[in-house]
Amino acid sequence: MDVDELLRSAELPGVEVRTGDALASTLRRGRVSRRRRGAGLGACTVLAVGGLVVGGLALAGGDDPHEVATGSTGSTEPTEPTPPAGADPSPVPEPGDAATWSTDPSALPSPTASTFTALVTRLGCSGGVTGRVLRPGIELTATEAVVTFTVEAQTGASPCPGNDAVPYEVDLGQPLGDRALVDGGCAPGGPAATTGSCLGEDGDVRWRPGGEEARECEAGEGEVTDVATEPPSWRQSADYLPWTDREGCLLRIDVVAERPGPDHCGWERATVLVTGQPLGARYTAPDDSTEYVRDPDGVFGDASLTAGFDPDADLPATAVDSGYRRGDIELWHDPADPSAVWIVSPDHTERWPAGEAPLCE
Amino acid sequence: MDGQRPSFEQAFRAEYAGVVRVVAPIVGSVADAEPVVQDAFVKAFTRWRRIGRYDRPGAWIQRVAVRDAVRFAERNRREAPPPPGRPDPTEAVVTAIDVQAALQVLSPKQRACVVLHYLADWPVSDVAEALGCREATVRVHLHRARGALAGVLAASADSEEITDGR
Repeated sequence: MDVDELLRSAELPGVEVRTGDALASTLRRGRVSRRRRGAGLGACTVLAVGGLVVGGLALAGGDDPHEVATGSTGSTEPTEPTPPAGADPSPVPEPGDAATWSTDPSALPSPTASTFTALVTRLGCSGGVTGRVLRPGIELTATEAVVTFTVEAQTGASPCPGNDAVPYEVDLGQPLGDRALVDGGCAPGGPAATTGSCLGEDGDVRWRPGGEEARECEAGEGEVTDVATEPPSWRQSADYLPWTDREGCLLRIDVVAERPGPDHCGWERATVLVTGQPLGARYTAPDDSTEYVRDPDGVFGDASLTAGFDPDADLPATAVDSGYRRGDIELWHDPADPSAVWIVSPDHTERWPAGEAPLCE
Repeated sequence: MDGQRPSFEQAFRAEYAGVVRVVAPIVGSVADAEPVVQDAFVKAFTRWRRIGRYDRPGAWIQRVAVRDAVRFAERNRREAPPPPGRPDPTEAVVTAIDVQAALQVLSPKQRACVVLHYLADWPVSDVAEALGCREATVRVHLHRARGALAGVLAASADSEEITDGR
């Protein structure tokens, strides 16, 4: 059977949902969110005077202090939000012309920081000049920080070379945490939604926490990240750990493959990392690959492997960064000496010797 | 409310289950889909004066929910369930249930493309708009997804040969 035909015959699964309960929960959250968007000065006032008022309301037994503090009408027909007068972040940017933004590659955001630098570019034609960047709109949810930029309004027609990028320090008001940074200008129906700046592989996401996490990227045939042409059975044959390039693009299994020792042989405390030779080449057979083994406990029963492992190694002067990553772990090697690799994590470096892990029958 | 414009509550009751139905195969379960979909409705609620005027407010909500679903799936991809095991050997055909289980081996974007295009019958242009990418990118995701699914489904079907149609 053709998989195309099979898919066309498949249907969405049926679902059972409690629409009434979901509606009530959504309305409750929507009202809170709506007020946080600055729909009324009351919300800003409460936040501005600090925690005493909010705390007092909470102690009074309200399950939603914002609900009481702002005098909810209970309406399910919200009104259009207006920009707040206070200094608290508002999702509504200062009125102006549309703009998009990117992160500054020389100063990437950090989950622990409450500020980051955005490079803002006017969307419309302006003779190559973005102009003054206005106060952005900022909307924080549990998973996203949506930042919407505008720039000073301009009248009259202008030629259309690409506009310059203007740095702007964004203050989120609290640490970014585990949120993705999203360009609010790319929202569906937004001014930039159908422009090239919002149609990239990551769409409206300008940065995401744990950007080191592996993701499949589009790649040309033969590239180390061309995972699309990997037979699916390769990656399913073991619990491979995801190695990526510097950009977080998943590497092919036949370029770098790391897996724990098979547990049915009791070898799960050991790890084997297989690379092509030279590092970065694809391997097809034992002859053109090298296994590097982490076996501190000697579960493989090969004393040379255990002896060659150094849990706190110094990087030799000849070692170079391969550019391959697994989270915050880096893979280093000596191009002239494939007898070991170094696994560099933020707090220590391990030396893994080349060797041959035994087969588990 | 006027005669033409639905209230938020009316739109919610009309659209909620349908959006959950689309999002659930992308994120892997109804339990994970509901918070994602409710987040999308919360966003619509805060903008309802504008969204409510659209010809199809539900389409806006669905697009937002789908994008959020892909992000959710990308954040949680390490927790994705394992690929489907071998089916009952007496099963002579690959069923729709097998297809939905097999979807979990795809990347979140590939899975979203397959769910929206094949299971929900969206045209490629709508899938591209929902995911914020080009139509060509959607076609690439679909092409690669078909290849991956052909391998997985063939491995789980003794009696039928599955090809990716190339």
